[in-house]
Amino acid sequence: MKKKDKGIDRRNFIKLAGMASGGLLLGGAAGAGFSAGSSKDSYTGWGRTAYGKDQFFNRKSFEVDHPTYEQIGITRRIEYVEDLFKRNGEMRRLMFAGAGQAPQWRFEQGIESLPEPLKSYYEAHPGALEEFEKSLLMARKQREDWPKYRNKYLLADAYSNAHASPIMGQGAFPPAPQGPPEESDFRGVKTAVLKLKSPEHGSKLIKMITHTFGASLVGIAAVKSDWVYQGFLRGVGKTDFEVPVHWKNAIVFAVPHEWDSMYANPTYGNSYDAYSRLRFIAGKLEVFVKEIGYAARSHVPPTSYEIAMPPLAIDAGLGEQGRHGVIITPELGANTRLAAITTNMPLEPDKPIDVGIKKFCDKCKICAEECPSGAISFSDKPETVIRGYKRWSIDQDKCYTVWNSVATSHSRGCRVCIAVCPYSRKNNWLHNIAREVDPRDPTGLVASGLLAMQKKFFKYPGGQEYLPPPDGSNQTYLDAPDWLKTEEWFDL
Amino acid sequence: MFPYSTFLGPVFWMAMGAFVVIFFMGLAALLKDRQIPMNWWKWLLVVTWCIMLYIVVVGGFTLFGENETRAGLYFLGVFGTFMAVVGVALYRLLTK
Repeated sequence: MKKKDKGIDRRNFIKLAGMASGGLLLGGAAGAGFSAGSSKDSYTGWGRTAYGKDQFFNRKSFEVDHPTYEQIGITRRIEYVEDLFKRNGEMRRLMFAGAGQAPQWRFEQGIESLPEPLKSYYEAHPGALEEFEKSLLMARKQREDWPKYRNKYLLADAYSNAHASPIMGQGAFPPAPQGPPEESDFRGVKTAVLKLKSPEHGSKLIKMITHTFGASLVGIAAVKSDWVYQGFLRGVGKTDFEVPVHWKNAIVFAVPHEWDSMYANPTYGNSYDAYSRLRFIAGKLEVFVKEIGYAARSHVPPTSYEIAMPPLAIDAGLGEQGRHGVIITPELGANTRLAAITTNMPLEPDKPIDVGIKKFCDKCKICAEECPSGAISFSDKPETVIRGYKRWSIDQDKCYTVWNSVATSHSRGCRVCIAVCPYSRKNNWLHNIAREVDPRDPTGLVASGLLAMQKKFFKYPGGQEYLPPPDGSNQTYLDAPDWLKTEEWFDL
Repeated sequence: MFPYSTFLGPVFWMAMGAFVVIFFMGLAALLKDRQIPMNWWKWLLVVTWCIMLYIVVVGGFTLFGENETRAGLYFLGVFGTFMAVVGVALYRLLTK
């Protein structure tokens, strides 16, 4: 009784404090978790980039002697008209001649009256021309409908156009090559070359420099002629050419799109934020390599390439090809945009990696389910053989039609497949457990468990919903960030 | 927590460390009062359960922070229910 009079005793105090601490621990756990999820520091590529800290995944134990793509036949280089943008550019030049000039080709004239190599391409891909025609019709509708959406997407469009500004026109950086590679790639190269201690030193130096220029990921690959386009050479024009002997190595690097806007694709995202960063990195790296005495040539987005980037990046050990055709890297997932420098600088190439992405894509299919165009295959394994390589391949013409269908001012992309990819996740403890455990699990159980959670727990709008009415409802994968919502800043 | 503060972050984790100590002191007192005998493997199970519960809470709220509200709710719902069932089983094991 005496004890009660004194109030709470020591033992009860400890029990009470223990219970209170338990509650505070759970509250702290919730706060720490929320902070880890919402922290912008966990958005790879927009913070610690310059110090190489974005490339945090240790690839050493996943190195393999052969990349995960499968060569099953005779390989060949890529005809430039096999690239959608180069092909469509050629078609537009034929169909939309300058003022006062008659078009050189109309749909009514049929495939047989197209010039080579377009004729051969469309004969081999008959559905592609029909899809191109559809994309032109959709582009017209997109322009007509834009006034309805202009105010809602004002900031997103302005943001995209701002990022596109350093890419377009005469002031674009890096400047386009002038003349054949044997001249343009050597222009500005300093002649007094110091002897490099070793190719390994060269690779290490170049990677550090490229990181400081802003690249999140950097890898080195020997240039494989199969990845070099044929039939068009910047600085020269349409021509068949041998792969220049000084294109010995490629420095491949990657940056992500800004994450919040990327998750709000298709209408709030854009491609040019990453493209413009890549072009600045490439242009500066080209100058740096020339300054230390070696030839260099930038290959930059959106279309200024002589080499296809994804297979080059796979060779450089940055990642593996995904079902959606885009490279998936452990750090950035599918939110990986690529550029490269070809050079004769002696460099030690990296090895390709196998972190189980290809196997995961066999099962996942989320990108195929969410693709508004139906361009991504649902097959259980890659079935298409492209130039001798069995790999995932999308219907690029269908994909482009959706670029011309979503509620944007012009065909500036869709990127839904990048946003919904389970690998496109933040650098925080939750996703890092998945990153580190899944590739080390030989049974595949972890991958199956993660995929089941991905499909059951996460909300996906569904393919058609990304399209404007009446086909869809202009959905985005995640909600747009406030800084891109016009209604947050302007009276609508 | 407090990722943009060089001061509050360490303070937060120091406080969390103190709460862990106080919590287990309180728990030990509670178990003793209820005359639940404990040994090393029982403590191991209890600590493991507590860590797992902590991870479930952090995981769910991490997803909330990522703007994946639905995923966070499912995460808490599924794994939280699982932890509750395991917790009841563990309590019955301790009191057996």
